[in-house]
Amino acid sequence: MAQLEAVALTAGYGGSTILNNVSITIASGCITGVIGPNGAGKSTLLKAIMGYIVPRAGAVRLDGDDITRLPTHERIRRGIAYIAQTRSHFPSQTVQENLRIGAYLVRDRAVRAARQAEIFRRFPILAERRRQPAALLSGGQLRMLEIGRVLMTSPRLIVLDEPSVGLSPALVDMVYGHLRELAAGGTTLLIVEQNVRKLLAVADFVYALENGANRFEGTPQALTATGVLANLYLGAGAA
Amino acid sequence: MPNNVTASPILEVIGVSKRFGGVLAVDQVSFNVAAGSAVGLIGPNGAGKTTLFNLLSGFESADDGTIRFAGSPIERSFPHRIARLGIGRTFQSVRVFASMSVRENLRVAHMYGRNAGSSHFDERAAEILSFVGLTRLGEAMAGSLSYGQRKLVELGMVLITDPSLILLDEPVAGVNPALINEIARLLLELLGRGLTLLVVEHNLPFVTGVCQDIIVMANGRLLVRGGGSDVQRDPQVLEAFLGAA
Repeated sequence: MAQLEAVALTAGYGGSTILNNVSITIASGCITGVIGPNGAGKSTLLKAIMGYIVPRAGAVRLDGDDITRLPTHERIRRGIAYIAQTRSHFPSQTVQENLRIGAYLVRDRAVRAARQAEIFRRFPILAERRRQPAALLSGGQLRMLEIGRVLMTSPRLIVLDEPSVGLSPALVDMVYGHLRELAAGGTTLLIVEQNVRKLLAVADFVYALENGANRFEGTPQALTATGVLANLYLGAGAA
Repeated sequence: MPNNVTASPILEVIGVSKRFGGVLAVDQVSFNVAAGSAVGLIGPNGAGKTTLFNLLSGFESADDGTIRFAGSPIERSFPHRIARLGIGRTFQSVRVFASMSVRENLRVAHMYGRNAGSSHFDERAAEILSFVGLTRLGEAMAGSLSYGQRKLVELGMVLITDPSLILLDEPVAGVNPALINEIARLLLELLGRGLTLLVVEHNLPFVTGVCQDIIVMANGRLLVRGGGSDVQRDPQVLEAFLGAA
């Protein structure tokens, strides 16, 4: 069943149009991937889904409801979470305080405590370093903190913009291991990645964008079987 | 066949490395650029392309290796000295003085160029504004121009330093298709005038249209070098762009 749909989205900044009539459907409980070369419109698509920009045309629907003009915090309240490509932690706050900031929508203290305990169980290193400022964490630990922070709202759908960026291969594996676990537990994931092979290894369904338009949709196996990847990344002359 | 082997190199990069903390951003990279050629430098994000540009233009200094421009070592030189030797560069995110006119932007760049002492600024500026198609916008504030026009101002600023080698960092990123073709035409014309170009760009059709000779970097290293179609058909190049599973 479609949990989130972006329907014929056209969006951009100032005078320039980045997304042109792009549609994607995210099925509940699945990992959906979006790939494409630099400038394809991947991050803009995520921003329109999160409400950071208002599309010029088209619609975003969550469980069938039109949320195109809903403010970001209302979308989060409805169960969508977002992890940006750039670092988004509060460096001078402790690990625990960062998690607490993530739980600003959660009023019930017992629920907050339970969720924090669950996050510390999932990421023991965060429990170990709970009283240290986030600035002291390594790149991989910060990614875990960012994932942990959005888990404080117990989201049904997590939108991730390049979770592998800036991480060593071993840490990428570890982050993806956690993402797989979340998906296995029923959380829906929408992941934009430049590390295409990594994403294809975990995604149930993948969309490829090119120059702000839909180029391909299908399973990772179907994508790999076509020549689309070489064309997307190396141009029309590629094999 | 790229002409880098036979023609005399204007730029020689020999075993250059740069480390940031635990990350080896540029790892033992060596290549030559022949005078009068256009070389494309491509690779996935994080390959080390911009770091290499920063080393070539003096914004960073190499931890190891030698960089020679027209025979002189420059790996310990400052950006203004390198500009005066004849290397110009543009930036990935366009850098112009927003509250100065286009012509004033050229004047600032001129002060740091090879011909800084010359009194022919006005003639040269007029010529360059005409070349990049900004004659009518010479008195406009650079900040009031479109992104694409500011890219052209930046190219004009490089040209007025009278470089023999231009390093272009993503010259068409964020630029509309019509202007992409125009920038390709300008670069080919500069090449025809004998300038040497080193172009970092993600837009493969653009880079293979301007450069017959392509260097592919991945993980800080030089992966392969060859003609556009060789590189496009090389499976290890595709794997580098797609990342490791």
